[in-house]
Amino acid sequence: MVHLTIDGKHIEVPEGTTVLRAAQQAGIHIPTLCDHPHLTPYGGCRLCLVDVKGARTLQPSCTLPATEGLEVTTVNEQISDARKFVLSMIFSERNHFCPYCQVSGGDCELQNAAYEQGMTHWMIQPNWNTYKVDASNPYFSYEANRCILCRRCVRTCQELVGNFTLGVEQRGAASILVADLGVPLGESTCVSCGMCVQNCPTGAMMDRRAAYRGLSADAETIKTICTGCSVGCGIEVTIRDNNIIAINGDYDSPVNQGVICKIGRWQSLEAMDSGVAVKTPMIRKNGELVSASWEEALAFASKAIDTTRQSLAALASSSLSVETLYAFKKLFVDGLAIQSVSASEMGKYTNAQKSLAVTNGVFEGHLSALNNADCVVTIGEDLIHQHEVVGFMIKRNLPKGTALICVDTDGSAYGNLPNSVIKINPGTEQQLVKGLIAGMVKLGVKSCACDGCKNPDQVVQDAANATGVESTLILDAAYILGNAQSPVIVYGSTVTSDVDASTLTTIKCLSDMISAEMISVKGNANSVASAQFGLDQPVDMHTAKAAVIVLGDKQPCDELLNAVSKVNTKIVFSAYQNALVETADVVFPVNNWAEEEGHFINMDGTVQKRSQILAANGQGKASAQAIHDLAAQLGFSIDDHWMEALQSTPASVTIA
Amino acid sequence: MIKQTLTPAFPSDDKRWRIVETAMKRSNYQADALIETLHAVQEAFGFVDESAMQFVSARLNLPASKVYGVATFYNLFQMKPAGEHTLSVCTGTACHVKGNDQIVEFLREEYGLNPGDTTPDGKLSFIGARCVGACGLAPVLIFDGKIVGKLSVDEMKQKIREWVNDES
Repeated sequence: MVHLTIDGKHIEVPEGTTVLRAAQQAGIHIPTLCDHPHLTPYGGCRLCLVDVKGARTLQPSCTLPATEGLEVTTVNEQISDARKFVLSMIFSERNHFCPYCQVSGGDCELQNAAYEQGMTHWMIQPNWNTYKVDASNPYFSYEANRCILCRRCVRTCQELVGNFTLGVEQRGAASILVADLGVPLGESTCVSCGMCVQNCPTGAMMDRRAAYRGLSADAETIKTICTGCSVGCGIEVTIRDNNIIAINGDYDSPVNQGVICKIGRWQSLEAMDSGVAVKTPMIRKNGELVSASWEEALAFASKAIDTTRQSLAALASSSLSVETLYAFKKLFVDGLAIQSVSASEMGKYTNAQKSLAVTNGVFEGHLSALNNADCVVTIGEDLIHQHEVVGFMIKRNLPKGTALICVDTDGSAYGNLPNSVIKINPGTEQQLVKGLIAGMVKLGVKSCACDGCKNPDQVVQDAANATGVESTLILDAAYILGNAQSPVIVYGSTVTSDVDASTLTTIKCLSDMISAEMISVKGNANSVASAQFGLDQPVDMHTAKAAVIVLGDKQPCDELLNAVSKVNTKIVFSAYQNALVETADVVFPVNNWAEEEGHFINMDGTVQKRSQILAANGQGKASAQAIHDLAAQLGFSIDDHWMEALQSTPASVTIA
Repeated sequence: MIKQTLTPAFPSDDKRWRIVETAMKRSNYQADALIETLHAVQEAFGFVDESAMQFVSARLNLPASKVYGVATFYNLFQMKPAGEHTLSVCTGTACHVKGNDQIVEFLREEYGLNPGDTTPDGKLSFIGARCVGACGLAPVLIFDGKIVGKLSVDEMKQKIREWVNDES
């Protein structure tokens, strides 16, 4: 610990803390522009200058480490003049004429800093050169004229997202933000996660949907979680007049530590903006869907279910809340004792883990293990396009020396990032993992006593033959893996779909050998809950006479549409109009993700609550309530002991 | 050591890529050898174009934006092929005062060249250099790497015309 004095206040901070952070911890305000609490200090804007006793000049507090006995003053005339001068130069460098800008009036950190320093004008002739606006990205645009070159976006892209798209070209006043080799953002390697937009202190990075819809002072911000996939990222939703203005990552969330992807930030809103809501319950009469009351629709549905009970199939989206899935299971499995009941994924992402958990108990770790991993192996999952946030957590550590080994049938998606891409023949994951184990034994970096490892040379050669990978490459990967201190193995659907868990058992063996954390990325927001409720059996819809399908706010996939095309009676719970609703016999309107609350179990077993953000319109009910009503009509009552039900079967993750 | 399994192919059959490859190999493909590598490209080809930056980025496992940023930061790296002959005009303070501002103007009027441009026939490239550190010789012109200084504006114009006509 070191002791320093800031504005006469004695402060004790750990070694390595900057003066700026020390001041912030002590509640002393120092204005900054380029600094961001979640990015490394940069020292670019010079607004945080402070007076250090004994120093020749003013020092930038954001890059100045606190040292024993340091005496710092943050407010005096010299500092104030310096800050005004710095702001004058920033204002004169580009076109900072506030009235046109969407963040003017409270959301612009530059404007706020100027008001704070009492600036009324700037004495330097502005640079009238204009820069072109880059509006090639569908979700955000870059307005270089408003850029203050603080490089927060560049650091965000590198340190938080690990995508390394943004950089700066030229130097001095001619500096400008570029993507890749100076191409427009829309044609670059940008993945449109929008973290740069979230962290931009000015209006340079403009969220095209949120711009001019309201400043944060007029709006309310609610913390909740994204249910776009099984990561379960924390998000902050800004709403105004029952409309969502923007979604941002929640830096307080332990799951994603602030980083979200384009699905969470923009595509979930796109679906909401373009979706046509089902407003009332509907019943098919004389070949046409007509509006009906809830009572009529419930009576119609319960009669249909009663008469077709022997050949009924029921399917629920695994993106629904735990409450909804529990009610669904209680009604159709326990109450009506129907055989063909499942969730939309039918166990594709959880079968193997569930089988292995019966004998092994909990064996999967937390996502946070990726932050400290020095070697990551991904097997059978493209984390560039699916579960992007997990991909970000891996990629952003690569410059720190984390080795990435991608085992995939198509490794090209990772570009030039990984240390090793092992492109294998389809379906040979298990052989490759065996090869890696034997490789480590052969190289002498690890030992194994099992029969399979008695002749490691042969195993490596067999693995090479089966997978189509050169044995030297397998040995290289085995060497990296065997020498890793805190390795993590991330695996996906090609491993997890198989019920007898043979590949996963081999991966478990590898993981035990090198004490690695295992993480499976699962599928939808409630994959784990669906599996724990036993909603993971394959269901053949083709043979069913009637089907109950709870879509929630999801769209039906083509596979589902095909499967139910021959089913006589279809009972659908949906928030939006879609191809399945059009062919249904009874339709119940349910709320979309923003309109109903519920719990979700993410891929590492963390139980999180999604809050209700918007007031529901029309006659739509929460999905869980709709199923409760249907159960009541059929003469069943449903309890809410879902937590006990979740924990009653062995799970691969700790559900808490 | 970890073996890089992704070895990008050379952008073309040009044998000069081997010089670039050797330069990178000498530094064991360390990312901090980026500037040396760009120097190697510049020396071998005379300029650093997009395909070169892409190749270097992939080979050194660096983000393309980083390579592009460094290549544009330094004046020495040319993004376009240079002309047959290169004329650098020092635009530092001393040379500016001694008349190089008029030379810049002269090149624009006489040959239509702005700093960084090459004549359409590919004969002459004009580079605006920052101070070359020879202020005692001001005003300074550099003809294909040869420094010429201490001339009057008219003499310099004469010299440029002579030089361009002589060589072309």
